Amino acid sequence: MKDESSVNVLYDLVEYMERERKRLLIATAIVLLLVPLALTLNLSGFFFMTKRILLTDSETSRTFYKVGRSMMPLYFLVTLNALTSIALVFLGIKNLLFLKSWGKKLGKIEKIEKKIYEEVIKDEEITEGD
Amino acid sequence: MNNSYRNSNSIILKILECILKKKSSRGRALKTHIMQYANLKTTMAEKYLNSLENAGYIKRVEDTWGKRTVIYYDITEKGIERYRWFSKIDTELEGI
Repeated sequence: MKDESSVNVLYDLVEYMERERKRLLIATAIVLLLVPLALTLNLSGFFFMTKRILLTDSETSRTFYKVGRSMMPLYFLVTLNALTSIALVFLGIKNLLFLKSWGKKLGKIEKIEKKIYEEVIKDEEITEGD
Repeated sequence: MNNSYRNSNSIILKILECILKKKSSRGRALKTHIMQYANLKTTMAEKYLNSLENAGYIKRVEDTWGKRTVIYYDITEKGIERYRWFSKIDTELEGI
């Protein structure tokens, strides 16, 4: 009778899953909030800067036109930034859906536990102090 | 999440598991075995055993052992079914 109880093992696993689910939910929520925000800031910053460089009659602007330096590499970087952000948001949403199904399974487990508790304990008070 | 009844459930299931294990090894689950397995004090064990008996999960059986009368606990069909529910948790966790 000294072998590890399967009840302990399974409950440890369920509790670990509940903790990890909460952590993953927080991490995913942070990513889903920060990524679009960072992308918006990057894009607005980029367009603001390029507009100023091209429109201002400054030395920099003239150099741009004279040398004929293309803006393509910059646009490429911005596009890459946007694509990376979209990919991150996509992965975040996928993760959220996975966590939702995980939550449903944990909910089913909770229902089983609740049913057993209600059948056995009901209104009886069994506390550690007894 | 549901710690309010998780502790009680853990004890209930350990009691059922103890009786089932004893039964499968053709033994009898005495109160002392259950107390040891579920790590319970006498008063707590009695309360849980009474509750389980009232709920129809287990039944108290009196038998003789030599000249002495021994009381052991047997699991009912309902108890087995509820323990199977618990085993379903394992199935629920599959695929995660």
